[in-house]
Amino acid sequence: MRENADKSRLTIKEFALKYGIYIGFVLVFTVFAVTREKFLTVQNLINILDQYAYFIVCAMGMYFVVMVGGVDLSSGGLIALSSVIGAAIMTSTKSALLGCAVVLVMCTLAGIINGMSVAKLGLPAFIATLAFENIWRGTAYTYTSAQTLSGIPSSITSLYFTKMIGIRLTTLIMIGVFIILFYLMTFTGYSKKLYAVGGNKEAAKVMGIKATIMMVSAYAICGCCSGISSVLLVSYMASASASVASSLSLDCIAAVIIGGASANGGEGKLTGAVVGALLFAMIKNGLNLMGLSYFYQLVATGVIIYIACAIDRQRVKAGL
Amino acid sequence: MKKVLVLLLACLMIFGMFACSSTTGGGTGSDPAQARKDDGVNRIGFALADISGQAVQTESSAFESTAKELGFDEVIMLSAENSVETQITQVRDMITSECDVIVIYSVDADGIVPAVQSCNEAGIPVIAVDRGIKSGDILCSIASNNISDGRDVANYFGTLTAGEPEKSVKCLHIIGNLSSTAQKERADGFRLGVDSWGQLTIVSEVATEADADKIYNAVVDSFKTNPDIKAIFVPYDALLSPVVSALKEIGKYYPVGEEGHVMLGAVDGATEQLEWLSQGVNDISISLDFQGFGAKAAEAAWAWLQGNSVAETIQTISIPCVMGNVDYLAKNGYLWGLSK
Repeated sequence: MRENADKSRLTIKEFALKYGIYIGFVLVFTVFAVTREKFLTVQNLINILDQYAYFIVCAMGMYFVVMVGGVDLSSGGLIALSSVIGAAIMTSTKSALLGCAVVLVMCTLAGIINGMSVAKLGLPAFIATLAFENIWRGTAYTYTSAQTLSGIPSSITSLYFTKMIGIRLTTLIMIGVFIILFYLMTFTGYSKKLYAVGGNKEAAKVMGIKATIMMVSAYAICGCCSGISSVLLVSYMASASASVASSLSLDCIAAVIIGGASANGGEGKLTGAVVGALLFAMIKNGLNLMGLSYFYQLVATGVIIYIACAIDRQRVKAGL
Repeated sequence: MKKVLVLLLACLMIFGMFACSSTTGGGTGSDPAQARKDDGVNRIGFALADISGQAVQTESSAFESTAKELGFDEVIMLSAENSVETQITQVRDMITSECDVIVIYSVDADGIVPAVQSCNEAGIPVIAVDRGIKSGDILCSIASNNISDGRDVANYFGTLTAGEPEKSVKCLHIIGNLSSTAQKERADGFRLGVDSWGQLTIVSEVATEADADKIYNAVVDSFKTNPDIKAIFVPYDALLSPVVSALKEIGKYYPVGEEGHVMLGAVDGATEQLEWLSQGVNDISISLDFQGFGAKAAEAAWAWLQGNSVAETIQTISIPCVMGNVDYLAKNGYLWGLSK
């Protein structure tokens, strides 16, 4: 009995490996709070959520793809294309609802195409989604002739500019997406199948899990989240441009890995991905407030990604 | 255990929010206008589209040194690396930092408008520098005329080839960063200029994302399709190096005055390209007043803080530099790229 209790007790090293992301989050939060007076204000903490809502939603979608052992490098391009098409529909028809519906359907379909390419055709996820990134972004540039589309209907821009209980609607939408996905991963059998496919696709098939469908569904969720992210971004920017979200896919993958997900799939929590994305957002915000140049921000995020991956490897080695 | 940690994190965020609520004046705190107050520090923010390249380094250095000389206590400079959404976030973070004035060298004249509106709501004046901003209340715009700069290059090509047969002078147009308004305007200006000269014609426009490898390949590939290209325009000087390398590689490089010379023109007036003019490598470089952009932005901001009036538009002078005038202009201190 006592032996069991000792076994369940973690050493400091094990604790650090297992909960590194949360410790890192608290550490970074504390450093910025102490060094930058403006960081620890209600306005700024809410700003972080407001400004990075689209990023957090996209990272949540990416989490599902990483869980099945894949990556989606096309999210940024898809957001660029869907935002300009959505914006064009909204401005020409004056119907924000129609624009949003087209964006969501289009992005979900794009996700399904990605999933089919990887799961059915057996294309490497990296190559297939990189190809689509170029296709989507190139089409967006062609469609807009590299011009920015403005004149977005106020019903869309008001998502960012309207507040409920002091929180912007874009942030509330992000929270809503989290609740839905959290429910999906916690209270349905979906997560077990997802982990099984990500952990070992062949073994999952033997267990009777339809691995192809699971993989396509993960990419579809990622596509749908890209669509929501696109709407949030258009609302945030009050315009649409083919050049947006150029590094978003990689940032989202990094956030998911920082959040404790295994890059090989089958391991990781949705909350970890959200905390990873929040950590990412917090670092960018804190460094902006410190007035540190973009180059330092690149170094800082690179170091954090490296440390997160190193911790992940150590954690796997330690069998935690 | 994990649940406890998540709970702790949530508590930390909530604690943070409430612990600091007194600093926002007791309102909801999420409205920048409500949060803004005078903390006795003269703080200025400079949101740059990017920070790479000699020209923008000159501009930002001039801005920083002038702002400090004038008496600004804190200068915040952030680069968005040509991402509109990043620049919007950075400007809004500058509002949170309680900057007294925000200077914007915008990635995109349309895209930055929501950030300008946020500044307007917060009562923070905005100065647009180097590139214009399409709408919103702008205290002052400081820029050169990018369309005119691009057109001047085409006009020089036109002058050099006057009398040549219709559409016989084939031009290659290298497009840099598609998201940059300044480059779009220079490209528009170049096209306008080409259209006004019968003998000039653009045979190819290649988007290169300002990437040296892509520019090199674009030149090599374009000469395969059109071996008799006579002129190349790039939107800024830094992109000229891979063009020259590519011309040398394919045996198309001849200095100015030699048979077979391919005319080269760009905008900015960077050191290397101005020196090349004397050596006959390139034909024209439009020197913009980057020191003036930075210094004048800081001066306008300081004037506003002191309660003085500020001109709505400050147009800087662009100087077309060619082999015949570059030494004279440099000696007399007109060129930032060749200043000691």
